[in-house]
Amino acid sequence: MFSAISKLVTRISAKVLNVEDYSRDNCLSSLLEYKPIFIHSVDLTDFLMKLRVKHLINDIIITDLDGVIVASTSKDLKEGFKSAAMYNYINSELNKLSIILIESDGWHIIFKNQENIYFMKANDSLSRIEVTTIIDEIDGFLKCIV
Amino acid sequence: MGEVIAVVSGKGGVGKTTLTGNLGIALSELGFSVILIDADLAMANLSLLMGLKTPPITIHDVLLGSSAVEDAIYDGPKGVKVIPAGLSLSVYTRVDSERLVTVAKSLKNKYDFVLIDSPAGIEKNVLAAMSASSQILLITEPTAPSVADAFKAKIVAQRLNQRVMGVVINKVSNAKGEISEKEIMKMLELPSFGKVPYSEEIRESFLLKKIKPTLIHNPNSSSANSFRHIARKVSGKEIEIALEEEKNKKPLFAGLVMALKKMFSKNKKKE
Repeated sequence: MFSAISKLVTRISAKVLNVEDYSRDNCLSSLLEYKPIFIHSVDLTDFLMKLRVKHLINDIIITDLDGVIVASTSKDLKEGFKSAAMYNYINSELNKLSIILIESDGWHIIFKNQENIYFMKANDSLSRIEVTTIIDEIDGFLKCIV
Repeated sequence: MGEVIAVVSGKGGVGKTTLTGNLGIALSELGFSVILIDADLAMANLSLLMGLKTPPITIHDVLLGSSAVEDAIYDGPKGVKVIPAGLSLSVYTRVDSERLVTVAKSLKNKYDFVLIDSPAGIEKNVLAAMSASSQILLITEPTAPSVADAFKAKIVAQRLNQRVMGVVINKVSNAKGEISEKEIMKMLELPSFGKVPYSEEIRESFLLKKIKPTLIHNPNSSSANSFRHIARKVSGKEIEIALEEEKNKKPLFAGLVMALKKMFSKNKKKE
C-alpha cells in the first residue's frame, strides 16, 4: 500500500517538475538471461543436438563416404544417400579439394576430411567460417570418444 | 608470436576505428611492433584516421588474391604499420573476407600486435574478423543499445569459440542514466580494459583537414592518456609496472634505516 502511494507521488512529482526518467526497467534482462552453451556429452547424437542449439541450426547429419549414417538429429535420412553419391562423383572429378561445400534447399553439405560427410540444415545461409567451426567441434568430439 | 586482436562492438559509431588507431599508436609508444588491418571492408575509414592518402593497394586487393600482403602495408604515425581497406564499393562486392584468417596468420609472426578494425554488426565480415583473431576486445558506449549489441557480439564470438579478453567503455561523460563501468562488467561478464571519456578533442581531430588520431593531435589529453592506459593493460605492461613497484617497495622499518644511514653518511662527509 505504502509503496504504491510512494510510486504514485514520485510519478506525479516527476511530471510536475518535468524530470526525465533515467531508471532502466531491466530493458536488457531478456538478453542478459542468455548463458553461453558449453557442451558436455559422451553421446554423439546428444552432442549434435546441443551443437544445433549452440549454432542456431536446424539439423546436423553425419554419414560416412558410403552414405551410412554415423549420427543424425534429423529423420530426413535420404539426404545422406544422395549426398554420398554426389561426393563420390565430385571426388572422382576433383580429388584434390580439401573442402567441398554445396548449398541446396536449405542444406549445407560439407565434404571435408575424407572420412565423413557433414550435412547441416539452416534457415539462412551459413558462412564458411561457421561451417568450419561446427565441423571442428564435431571432429574434436569424435577424436575424444574414439 | 604476436597477438591478433579484433576490435568489435556490434553497434556502429561506437569508436572501433578510433580505438584501433589510438591503441596501435599507444602500443607502439610502449615499444611494440604493431600493424593495423582495416577489416571494415564496406565502410572503411582507418586509412583516413591514420593519414594515408588513397593507398593504391589495399586489403581488398589482398583478399581478392591480386596482391601480396606485403604490398598493402603502409607507414602510419609513430612507426605503426597499416593495411588500409579500399574505398571502392565495386571492389567490396567481390571480396572474400574469409581470407582474412590467412592474412592475419601471415602477419602474426612478424608483429607483436596485429589489430583488426572490424565492421559493425554480426554479419559475415565480422565473423571473418573474429575468426582471424586470437582475442577479441569489445568496445561499447555506456548506453543500453550499445551494451546490448556488445553482448550479442560476445555471444557470436563464443559460438566461434573465440576468446573475448575484455571491454573498453567509450564516450563516458558520467551523465545521468549512463550505465556504470561496474554494471557493464557485470552485464557482459568481462573485465574492463578502461574508460575513454567523451571528449570534444576526439571529435575535433576528425574535423581537421588532415584527420589525426588523438594521440598525435592531442597527446596530453585525458582521452590520449586513457588509450595509453588501455595499451598497458592489453600488453600486460600494467602488470609488469605493478610488479616492479611492488618489488621496489621496501618495508617501512628498512626504509627508515636506509634513510638514516644516508643522512649520517652525508653528515660524515661534511665533517
